[in-house]
Amino acid sequence: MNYILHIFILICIYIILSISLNLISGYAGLISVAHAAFYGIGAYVVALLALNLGNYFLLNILCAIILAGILGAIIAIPSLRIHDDYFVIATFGFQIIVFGVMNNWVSLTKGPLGIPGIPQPALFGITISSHLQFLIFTGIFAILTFLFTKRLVNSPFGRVLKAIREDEIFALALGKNVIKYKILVFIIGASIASVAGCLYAWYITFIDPTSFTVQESIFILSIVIIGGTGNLWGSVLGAVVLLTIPEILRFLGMPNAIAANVRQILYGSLLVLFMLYRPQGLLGEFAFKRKG
Amino acid sequence: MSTILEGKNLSLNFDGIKAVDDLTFSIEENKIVSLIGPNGSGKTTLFNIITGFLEPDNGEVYFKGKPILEKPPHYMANLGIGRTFQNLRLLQKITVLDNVLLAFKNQIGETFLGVYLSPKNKKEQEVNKKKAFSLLEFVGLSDKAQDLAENLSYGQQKLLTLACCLAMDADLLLLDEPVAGLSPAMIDKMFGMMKELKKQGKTIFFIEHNLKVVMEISDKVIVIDEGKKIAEGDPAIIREDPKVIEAYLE
Repeated sequence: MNYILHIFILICIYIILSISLNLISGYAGLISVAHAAFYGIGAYVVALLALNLGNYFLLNILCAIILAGILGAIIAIPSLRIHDDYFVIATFGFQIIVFGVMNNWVSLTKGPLGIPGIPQPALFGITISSHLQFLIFTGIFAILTFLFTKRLVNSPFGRVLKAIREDEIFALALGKNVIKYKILVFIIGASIASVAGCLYAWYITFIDPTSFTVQESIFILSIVIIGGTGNLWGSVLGAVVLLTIPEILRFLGMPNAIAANVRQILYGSLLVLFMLYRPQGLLGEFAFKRKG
Repeated sequence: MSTILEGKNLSLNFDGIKAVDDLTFSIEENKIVSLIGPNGSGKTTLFNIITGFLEPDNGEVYFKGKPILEKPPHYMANLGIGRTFQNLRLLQKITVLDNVLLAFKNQIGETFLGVYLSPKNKKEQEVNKKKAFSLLEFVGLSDKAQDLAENLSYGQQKLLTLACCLAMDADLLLLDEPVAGLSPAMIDKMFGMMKELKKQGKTIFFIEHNLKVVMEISDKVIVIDEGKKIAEGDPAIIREDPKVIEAYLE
């Protein structure tokens, strides 16, 4: 039972990650491979604060959001003056830097050894510790993220994001401050990703840099692409599909050492197949509302 | 009659080619002015300079008496300079109505906090929707409001870009070849609208390379060739100008 709950909890965390990356990459068209960096920043902030200063639920999560937001701005402001592929490379660089810091700043992060014993969050006097409690806890955050992002993308703000994605020059000519929107959406996405990091640290109670590598960033991007860019339900479905597939492998009786590699091959081939035959993903942007 | 737009000694080189060469011009308020010239004479380049997409090597641009150079394009748009593009810039994958809605300036719902916190957001969106419908009615596309922009004909898309330009509530409209490629009936329709907009107090500065087409509608014609202004003035006089005839016969 706990095993199934565990899968569901991870799905909730990845829904938060994929929705926030969908906002950046799917709606605003900024392909980023730094999402795991912001995810990791959230996890490390919450872990270090809880262990060193005190385990305050709201305060610590707020600190994570603010730090991820600031770092998001720092990466976004210089790199958004460049376009497309160059932007991807800039985010890749940022991802490598963040991983490097986590891995090498041993006095703060304990480096590759990771941080064990992260205290679990207490909410209204209840410590969240069982799997079921965590599922409800992360589920609430996933739903909140969904509703928050849905409201944003369906607003005039979301319309501007799509305009920037489709035709930046048109958006500029209509008087939209394109750079401001790009920076803002990057900050929002980074902040939401850091929340997923907080949940992860609290749930697993142990973090180390290997959870926040560039492979992880690419995995989150795969969820967005396979699920369907520009569609929030696509991100939900993508997270469900990509997290349950490897579990099915487990039931095929594959040894763990092989399963891990098969999983990578599977993800890779899925991406290639989707690019070839269904580039809009499982649920494309117009899955439910094709007009005209 | 006051001047709404003024360019002084504008020059821009592209790798040694003088795209715009010491160009000085002025546009009076509430007039229809056409910019004509052969292909490659620098017409669109001049528009790009005025709207901030290109920065000239030399010169000044004044809008309503204020210098506007070195400002980003979105700033120009918010000052009240609307423009359309020769190669039809529209969002093809969203509805006609959404294209117009996008163009309204300073929407509360376009700010991050406005989306979540402002109670006026919803009301403003409804008001904008009504305005958008009346603009679509003006350009004759109200029955297409819910279609995707990509399903419109070429002429209809041009009308839609005009509607977007109007939604911005710009005082000065820069239209890049608004009638090129249109059928004669559609050209009449477009010109009819431009006249109507002039009545409403707008100033229109538009590009066209067909000399005959602009004569009837323009209050003033500016002719450029190889980046230089070769004539400016009343259409009837321009038509007789030997320099203009030469540029066009070449």
